[in-house]
Amino acid sequence: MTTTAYPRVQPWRFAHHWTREQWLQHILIGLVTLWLLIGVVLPLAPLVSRSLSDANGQLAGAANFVRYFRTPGLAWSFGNSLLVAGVSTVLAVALAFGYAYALTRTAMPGKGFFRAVAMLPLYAPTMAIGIGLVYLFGKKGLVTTGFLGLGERWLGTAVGWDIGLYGPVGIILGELLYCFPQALVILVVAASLADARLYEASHALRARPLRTFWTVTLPTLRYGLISAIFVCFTLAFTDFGVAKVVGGNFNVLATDIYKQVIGQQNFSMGATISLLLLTPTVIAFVLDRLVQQRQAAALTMRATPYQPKPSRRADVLATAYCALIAAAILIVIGTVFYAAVVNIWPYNLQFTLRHFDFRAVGGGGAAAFWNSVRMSLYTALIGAAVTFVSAYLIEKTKSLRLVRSAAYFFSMIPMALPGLVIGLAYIFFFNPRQWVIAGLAVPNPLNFLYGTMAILVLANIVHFYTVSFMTATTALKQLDAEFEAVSASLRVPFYRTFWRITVPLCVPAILEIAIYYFVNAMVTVSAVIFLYAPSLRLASVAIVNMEDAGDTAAAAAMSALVILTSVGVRLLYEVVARQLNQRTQRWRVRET
Amino acid sequence: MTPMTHASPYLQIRHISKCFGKVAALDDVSLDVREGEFLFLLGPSGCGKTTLLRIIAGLETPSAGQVIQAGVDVTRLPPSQRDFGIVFQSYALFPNLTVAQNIAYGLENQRLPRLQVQMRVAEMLQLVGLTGYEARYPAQLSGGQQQRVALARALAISPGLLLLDEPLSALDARVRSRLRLEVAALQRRLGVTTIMVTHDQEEALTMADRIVVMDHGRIAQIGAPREIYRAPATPFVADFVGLMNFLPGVMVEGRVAQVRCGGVTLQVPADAQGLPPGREVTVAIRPEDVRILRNGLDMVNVVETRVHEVEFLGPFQRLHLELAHQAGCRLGLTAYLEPDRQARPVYKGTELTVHLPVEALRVYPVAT
Ligand SMILES: Nc1ncnc2c1ncn2[C@@H]1O[C@H](COP(=O)(O)OP(=O)(O)OP(=O)(O)O)[C@@H](O)[C@H]1O
Ligand SMILES: [Mg+2]
Repeated sequence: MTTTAYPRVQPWRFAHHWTREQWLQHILIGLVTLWLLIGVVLPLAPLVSRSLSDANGQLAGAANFVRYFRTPGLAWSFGNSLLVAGVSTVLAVALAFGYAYALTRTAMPGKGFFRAVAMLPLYAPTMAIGIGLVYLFGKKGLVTTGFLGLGERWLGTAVGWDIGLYGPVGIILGELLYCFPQALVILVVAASLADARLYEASHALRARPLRTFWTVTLPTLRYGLISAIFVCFTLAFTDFGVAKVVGGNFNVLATDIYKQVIGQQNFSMGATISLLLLTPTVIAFVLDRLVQQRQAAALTMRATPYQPKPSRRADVLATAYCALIAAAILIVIGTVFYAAVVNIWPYNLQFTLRHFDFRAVGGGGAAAFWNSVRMSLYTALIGAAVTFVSAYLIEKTKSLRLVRSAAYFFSMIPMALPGLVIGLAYIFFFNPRQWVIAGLAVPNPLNFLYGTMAILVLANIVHFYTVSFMTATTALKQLDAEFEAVSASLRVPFYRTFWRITVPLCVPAILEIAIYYFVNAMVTVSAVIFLYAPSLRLASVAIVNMEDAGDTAAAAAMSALVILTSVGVRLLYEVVARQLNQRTQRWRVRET
Repeated sequence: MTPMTHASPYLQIRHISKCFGKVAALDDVSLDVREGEFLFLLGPSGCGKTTLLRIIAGLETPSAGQVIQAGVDVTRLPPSQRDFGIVFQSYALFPNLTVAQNIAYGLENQRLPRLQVQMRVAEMLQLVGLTGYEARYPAQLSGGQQQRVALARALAISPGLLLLDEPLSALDARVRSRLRLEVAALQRRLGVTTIMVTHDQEEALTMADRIVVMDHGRIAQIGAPREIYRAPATPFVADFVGLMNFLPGVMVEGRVAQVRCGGVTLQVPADAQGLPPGREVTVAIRPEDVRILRNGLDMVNVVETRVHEVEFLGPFQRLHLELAHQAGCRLGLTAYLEPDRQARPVYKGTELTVHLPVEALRVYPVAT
């Protein structure tokens, strides 16, 4: 070649000349990283340091942990938490497995109905599940009293059955209901990814149904099962609402943190227990990640969806099984509504709406409900926008690779953080007027957020960030990887393409994220219970307080309102989304 | 725009290298592209064609080297500051925009008056033969139509350089061969400097002004299609472009090589004269250059063979021949047989005398 006369030039010797567009991109990526640092990473630092200090803030090393395990009442809680979480996980995953199998592998009727009912607990605060159980199995419960004495009067013999609700039994029942839909979602997705060709092959080889189950069904669902187990365990281990209502004297870590912080104002011990709460969830999270990485490879093969064939016996069996579980869910949730509208349970069952007048009881009343609605709206709107923009910048831009990888990693952390831990960490991070860093006092520039609506919204966004972020990332990954390159070649700035192409193409995913944020912000209690201000009470917190004060009927009424709101918003979303999709997603349909 | 002198090429690629971690995708690639020419990057999968194209576009940063376009060093410029249009294998059409909106996408950004944009879009649609399809969405077009919309979108902004990454590979064979002609005609009409990536040698041979054959991140040969085909610089090029017979051998003296088995001695062209006696070589000849002799003329480079297999290909037959063998060593040779000359039918086992013309032979020293 004749070009050898040119000197070899190393491009990195040149100074970078960033264009305005690149500057903008870099600043935006910086902002994403900054909010993840402030919202997720930095608040964890004071939590750890507080767990290592005594009540006066002096460094105490592992003293708190030693004291924790030396205090008999407290030390038991760790084992208790493991026990109830373990048992409810096994039960929830096993039951959900059968339910998912029925939904995906049989031709039973009413699948849409069964699917919808199974999802119902997702739209209820966990306290509501506890309250429903109390009205059924508590001291004056429907079942405990033999259907309010009716059974005895009619049958002539006592049919009351006391299951010993308060304690592990109640918690396990409650967590089971709470975890069941979560496991079901994961297992149904895993099952619909299974390849029909494997079943056909198995059939062609004349394998018996049981053998097909062991050699085809179980292996294809393996990753889904593992994931479901980890998710359920984390949820049941860290849940606060159920244990608060039906735990009785049976202490678990979540209620311990609440008692230490709210009851005794012992923040250091609260931090210590938080870290104990965090350990198993972090382990579960890491294990799940490792397993899912393996699965990614298995999923790249193209699968043909499985079309179940009608089989009378299997379909009847499946319907009966699903009907039983759906009935259980409907009865527990239905009881909450029923208890909310009767005069005095169980003595006067006349219809009344008086429990919805919250003026007579503590907890914040109607204002708390509207605050919750407002907070959920803000969480949905801001959360969806922030999540989608963050996911876009991390997934679709090319510059600042290391920063983007760090931001991606930060985005995964919230998955492992229980709400209580986030709430407590936020107290330590945002509440003090000054931070003490290495013995140096620095004024806290973020202190102004404390006790505001903003910190509640931030806590909620962070709490439910990872799932939303993954939804956004998955949607973005499905877009053609060269849209950005094409726009650049046409000299169209990236933000214009983002607005005109990326966002419209991702409308379904963005709506899905917004609704996920709304419903979860509406029903959650764990992250916000440490953060709400007296002037800014919330519905879920009100449920806890009313229940605490013995105003169970009012708590049931508030629960009913919350459930109605979140279910109502979901239904409204379905209608609006359908309309919107017809208008904005017209290009998806092929005209012929 | 500064007028280009003939002396300086429109695009200069100087010593470009690119590493992905430990993988060296490009290794010291230098190349000049003349204004208005249709240049092809040809090579097997993974040889670095796409990487080179993306570096030219600024979508990838080279590990070393320079890209100079129209006299300006653009190595560090982002894509948006360069002057090119690009068509990807996936087309990357915006699915939520109509055909017209897709083509207008780059124009609207230039804040042109609406009427002017509309006229340009109409002009582009006419250019690619899609007038009347303005209001369709990409999902409502066939693959070939989508490809033409992508081309129109890239050309709408009148780029100085057109980059095409396997734009025809997603189409079925019939549409592909029609579009080959269309794209080549369009390129000549517009005179836009074009670089097209392909691993389809037929595509490159039929469409290109010049072909760059790449192998493992390096340039194996640059030349006009005829040159690449007739005088491949390396056995790799010879093998990749078209079919080639390879006969291992050893140089005996100046212009004579002895084929490894069968005791065949061949006269080779004068350019092999530099190779010393005893040097291991590969003697190559295209199947169409192997001449089947009907009557044993007394010439040089006449070889006795036996038919091993006959392949019927429609217009002609492909013969797989075996050189007369001894001591268990066999050598294959492919040749074509046209049917009208077929005086005596050829079957498996038929003995044939073939002529390997001296000027059709190429001699490559074997790397030691
Ligand atoms: N982003 C990347 N990261 C790591 N390796 C890469 C990347 N892009 C390309 N490579 C590697 O660089 C080499 C050249 O890739 P390139 O895509 O340029 O090949 P190609 O000639 O276009 O092949 P094909 O015909 O299959 O498209 C390959 O070995 C490929 O694996
Ligand atoms: Mg390629």
